[in-house]
Amino acid sequence: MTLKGKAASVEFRGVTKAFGEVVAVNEVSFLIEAGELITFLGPSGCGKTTTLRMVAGLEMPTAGQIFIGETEVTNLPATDRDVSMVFQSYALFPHMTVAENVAYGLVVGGTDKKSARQTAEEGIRLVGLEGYGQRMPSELSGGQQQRVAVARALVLEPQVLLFDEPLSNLDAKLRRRMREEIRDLQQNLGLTVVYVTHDQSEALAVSDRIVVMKNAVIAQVGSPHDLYERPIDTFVADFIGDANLVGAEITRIENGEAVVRMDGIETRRPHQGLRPGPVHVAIRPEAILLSEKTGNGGLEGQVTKAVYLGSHLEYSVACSLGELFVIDHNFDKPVKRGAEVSITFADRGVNLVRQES
Amino acid sequence: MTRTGFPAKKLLRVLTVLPIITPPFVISLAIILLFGRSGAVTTSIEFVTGFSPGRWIYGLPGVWFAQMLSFTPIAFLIMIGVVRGVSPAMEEASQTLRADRWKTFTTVTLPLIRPGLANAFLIGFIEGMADFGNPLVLGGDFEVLSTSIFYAIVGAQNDQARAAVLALVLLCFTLSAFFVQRKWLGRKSYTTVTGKGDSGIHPHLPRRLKWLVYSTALPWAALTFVIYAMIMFGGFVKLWGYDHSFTLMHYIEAFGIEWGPQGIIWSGAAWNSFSTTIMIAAISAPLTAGVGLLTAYVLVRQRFGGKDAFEFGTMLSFAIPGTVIGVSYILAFNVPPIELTGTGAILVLCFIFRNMPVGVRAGIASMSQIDRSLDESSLTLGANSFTTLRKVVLPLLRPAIVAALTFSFVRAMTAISAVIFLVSARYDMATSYIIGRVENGDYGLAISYSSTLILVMLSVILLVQYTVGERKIGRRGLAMDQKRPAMEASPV
Repeated sequence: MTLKGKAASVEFRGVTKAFGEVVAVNEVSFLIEAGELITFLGPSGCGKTTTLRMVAGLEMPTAGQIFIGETEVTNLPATDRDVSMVFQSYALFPHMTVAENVAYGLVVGGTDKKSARQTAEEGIRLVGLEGYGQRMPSELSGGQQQRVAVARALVLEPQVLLFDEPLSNLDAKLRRRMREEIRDLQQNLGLTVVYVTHDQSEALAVSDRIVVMKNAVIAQVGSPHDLYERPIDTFVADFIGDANLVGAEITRIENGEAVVRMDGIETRRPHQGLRPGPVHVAIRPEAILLSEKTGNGGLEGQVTKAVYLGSHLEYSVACSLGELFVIDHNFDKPVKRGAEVSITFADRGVNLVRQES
Repeated sequence: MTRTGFPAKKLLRVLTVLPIITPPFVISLAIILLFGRSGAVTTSIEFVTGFSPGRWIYGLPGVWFAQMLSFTPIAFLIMIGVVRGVSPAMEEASQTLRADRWKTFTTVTLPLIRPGLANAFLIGFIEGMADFGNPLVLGGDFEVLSTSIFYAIVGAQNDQARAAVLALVLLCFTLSAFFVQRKWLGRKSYTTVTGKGDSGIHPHLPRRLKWLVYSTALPWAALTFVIYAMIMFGGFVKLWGYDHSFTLMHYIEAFGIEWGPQGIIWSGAAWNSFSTTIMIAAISAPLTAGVGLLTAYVLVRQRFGGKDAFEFGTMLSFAIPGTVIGVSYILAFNVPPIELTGTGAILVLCFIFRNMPVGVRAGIASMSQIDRSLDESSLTLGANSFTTLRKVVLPLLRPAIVAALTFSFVRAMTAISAVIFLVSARYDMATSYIIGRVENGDYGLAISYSSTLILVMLSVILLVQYTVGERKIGRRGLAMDQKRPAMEASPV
């Protein structure tokens, strides 16, 4: 047999979770499509893990409804949900072999021993650990343990597969490889995956869509591209990638574009539904272009720091907008510290954002 | 207990600490007050049914009962560490893998705590074998090894050779149990809580099991409570079972103070042994802690051949029953060149040897936490070795020092098995004095003395807690951890 998902959608309707006085998740609603990999991203304490644990059935919501597929599961305990989870610490049972670990869910679920063993072998093969079935978890490396945890969750063919910061205990290189493998598995098997992380580059790399959370509510939902190119507020702009946040003012809306004034310079940008008045401009570091000082007006500044990082150059430039952080891939004309420069902006990577609430 | 939403958890915790500051035979005394021939329960049964249960409590059932009550807390302390050591993620993982509470418990939780259970069982075995106080008070004609050894030396037989042989037998038993325990634990330890962040909650126990746990723990707690109430109030009653009128008689007899022509006269019968006990405990506690911590320093910071063997040796003395030590001290120091029997020095020496492992354990635990680079940075900053030790190492060791001091003080006050062989008329210890009273049937005095001892130790512990304070908030958990291994194998 081959493993495949029975992928189902997940829906939250006005879900709140309070621990005593502390509200961890506040009236959150979203819909995850079947077969989609969605990431919950946010700083620690934003409620992303609590949200995941509510999908798993390890926490019960204080208010609101949760649906998996067509079924309401709001008060169903984890045991009775068709959901499995990969834990941050992997949570492999140390007294069982790899094969026993992987077969565990099948065996306690009443599958007969023989087919459980076959399915477990299939799962182990799927994560590339053939021949490791008789090892104990303590004899495996961190990455291998991670794979066992994934296999153990996979073989149950769950409607939804959950990952709770699965890569945070791996080193940087392995993290990169594992996230690609998880993404491949998800796409090949058509799984619905809910993934929690605080690492924005990990979220950008694996997700179909990202839910950015902050202070128990959703700040923005969108594809990685949407979030990076059109962040809704200063928080998202700063959390996904780097951004220089500069105060500005929309003077008027003209031809569907906002005319923005920042410190004497006027530019036109998509208005993002904003009205005339004070606003923030989020400028990506790579959207700032430095050139030799021309002296014919425009924004000018002085380079206060210049750092060579192999793949790119980083500058700090002091100008009338404040201290700007700049990334430059142009190695042909490196700028020296102390140099006077003219500053221009690219079309992409300069966005109007609201003040975060 | 860590796994139920039980409301009185804290109270239960406190009850479990009591036995550490309770002299070992006090449980037996209380049992006698309850179930003895004129005990509260016995007389009420007699009153209701007209049937007299007699003296069934003396002998095997009584000893068994007393031992069970005495050692449950130790097992509890071991198990609480083990149960806490199981990461909640384990059980949550099992739940997300469709196992219900019962399956989770039988296939995950139970296997994970099994080594701990075995450990608790073995410790209970070692302690039970080695215990002396309870069988002596409750044994009647029923002799166990440790009491046989005592009678062989103290009784009419005065047969030191017989005592030595019996001591050897006892030693063999406890040592083999000790080795089994070491080996078992060396191989299997499933502590699954790691430094990695796991923010789970332990699921509650399956319902069937919950009731089983409650129905075991609650009666036990109730019984313990009754027993301590007995100890506290027993001292204020004229003659237990016959005349229950309130009296301070026993306290006056024990701790009476009179004004004579030459000033204060310490007329109470217990003052002599009481002051000796405090003195010996006060002398031996700092020595024990000092020797223990120095040993730990040597073990952690220096490298030398046979280090492992040395470390193992210091732990080994946990497994040697007090009676065996008592006998060996008598045999060793009764004759020239070193004649110490009957002096206070032999008591101090005995305590240092008995309680040093605690200091060593506590010292090793916290010294391994102190990175060598701390010493080195102090040295490179221009401090000499002595200043480094004083300004850097010692303050960091403070929890360990406190733990070792408190523990050795308390142990010195409550020890009985080794001490009873070593006391003399001049240097009598509180515990052996009480045992003497008990053998004469003078329960009132014995109980009032015991409760005084408990209160004294309690106030010492509280005082230490208070003066040292909780300055090191981050280290508090550590200090507890250091105490735990000590209790795991505390000598009797």
